[in-house]
Amino acid sequence: MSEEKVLIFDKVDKIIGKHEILNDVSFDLKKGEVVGIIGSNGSGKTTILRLASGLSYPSKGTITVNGKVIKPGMVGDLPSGVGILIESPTFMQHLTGFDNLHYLAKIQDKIHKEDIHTALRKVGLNPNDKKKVREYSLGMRQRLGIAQAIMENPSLILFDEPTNGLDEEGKKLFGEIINEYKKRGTGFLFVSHSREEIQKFCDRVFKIEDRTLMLHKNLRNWFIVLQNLEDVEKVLQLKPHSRISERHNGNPVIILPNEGKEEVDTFFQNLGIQYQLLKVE
Amino acid sequence: MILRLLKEDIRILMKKKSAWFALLLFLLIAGANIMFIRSEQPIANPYFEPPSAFEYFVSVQGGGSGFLMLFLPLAVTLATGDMFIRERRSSILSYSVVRANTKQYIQSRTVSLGIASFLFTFISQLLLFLGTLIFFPITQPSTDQGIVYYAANIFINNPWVYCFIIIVNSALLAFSFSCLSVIISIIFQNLYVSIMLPYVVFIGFSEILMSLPMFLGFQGALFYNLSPLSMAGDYITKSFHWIIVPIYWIFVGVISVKIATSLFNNRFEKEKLLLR
Repeated sequence: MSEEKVLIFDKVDKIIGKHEILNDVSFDLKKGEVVGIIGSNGSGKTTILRLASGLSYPSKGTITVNGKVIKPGMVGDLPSGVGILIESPTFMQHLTGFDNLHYLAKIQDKIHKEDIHTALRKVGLNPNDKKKVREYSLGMRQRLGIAQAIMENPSLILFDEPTNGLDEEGKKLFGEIINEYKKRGTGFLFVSHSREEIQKFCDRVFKIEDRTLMLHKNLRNWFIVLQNLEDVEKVLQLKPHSRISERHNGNPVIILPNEGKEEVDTFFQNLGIQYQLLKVE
Repeated sequence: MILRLLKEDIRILMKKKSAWFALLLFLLIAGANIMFIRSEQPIANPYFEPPSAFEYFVSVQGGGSGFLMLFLPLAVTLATGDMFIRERRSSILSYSVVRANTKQYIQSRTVSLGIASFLFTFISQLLLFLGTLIFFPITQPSTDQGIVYYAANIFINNPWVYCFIIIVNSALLAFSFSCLSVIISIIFQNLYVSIMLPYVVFIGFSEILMSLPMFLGFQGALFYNLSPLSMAGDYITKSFHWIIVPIYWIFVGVISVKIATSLFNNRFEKEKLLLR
């Protein structure tokens, strides 16, 4: 993961009317990183996305995308682009999914029809489907929303409850999209009320507490490839909740449940054994 | 961006049932208007010379027995009046705004919808003109036809050019009317209000201006002549220079685009524009 920062919130406040929604919010998002924000309903999660996308004005502080301080309403001027999916996406009902995306793509004219087809296929929609959006199910509309956010390969993608209405296949495709775009260096900012969803996809998690952001431990299951069985024994002794998984290329694999990334790294560094991260769930 | 959006608007318009319905209704109403005009012609008068195709085309526009001026804005409403409000009532507007800066976007959007409306009306009027050429004699308009006072010399000497001017005038009206629809869609979020209010404003504002002579006397005639309804078709009975009508609609169109832009930016800044 590159240290290059895609998004920086610096001491951002947001006041709407007499209500303070956010207070002194600061965080950053690196290239290829997935950052999640959890919080209860009405805690200001969506407001953070609206601020990051330039659809809303910060009352105080600055927001930087790819080194440029964003001015609300001017995000489209950023050469790198920002993809958004905010709340339940609604489209022009009388048009097909492809027509909706084609219309949006023509605003910047950076991509061709084939790229829209590719984006639609990635989310499991048929690009040649003549069905109007009004006939789409909630899950199909959500998939279309994800396709519009990714189709122009923006450097920053903002997702609000992205798996809303998605079935298991849709969630699997979504996970594949995240992995693919992460490898390309795209930064993701996720907000969700679902801790499980956030923990599954995110490298770092923040929680909104009392109108500000607090770093939250992202506890996940880590699949670690070790060199030999002696190392496995050492780990099992020190981490009694860990368990053995299927071998990977002949090497033993151990699962460390409910751990944070920093804790895992520190644990193996202190132990002085060689390890390789296989996957995280 | 205007051209790209215009291409999309035309593509959408071609697939839109209400646009085809508006075109059909326009031609039917124009046809009914022509039949009405024919019903007023003297019967069994051997000296009566049947009007030319040009006279029929110009007569239906407004003034005298023509009432197309009342239907023209309604046809534009049916064809393009709902396009911006549907965008605003969906996430499309938010998705669009992150792809362009707001000023550039709303200007391009208003102008592209205006041009789409211009083209729709231009084609509708052209089809009507072709229809009159098919069904009625293509003869020189009579010098004592007594209907046309607007640029009458062009009408008599070059009726082809004259009819082209009339078509362009209607299309320019459609551009301005479409801008009015965008303005109203920025203010109101209700679909039906945003679709119908521009027509109500158009007629209502015209009626106010047209009633001013009652209060202001002779000076009020200027307001009467410059009312949108009068400039939509009634102008053919007024002895204006030919350039007055296109300039009027271009002026209204430019002002409308500016109002739409500043209103859009204002409501965006106040965070009252996009879906929450």
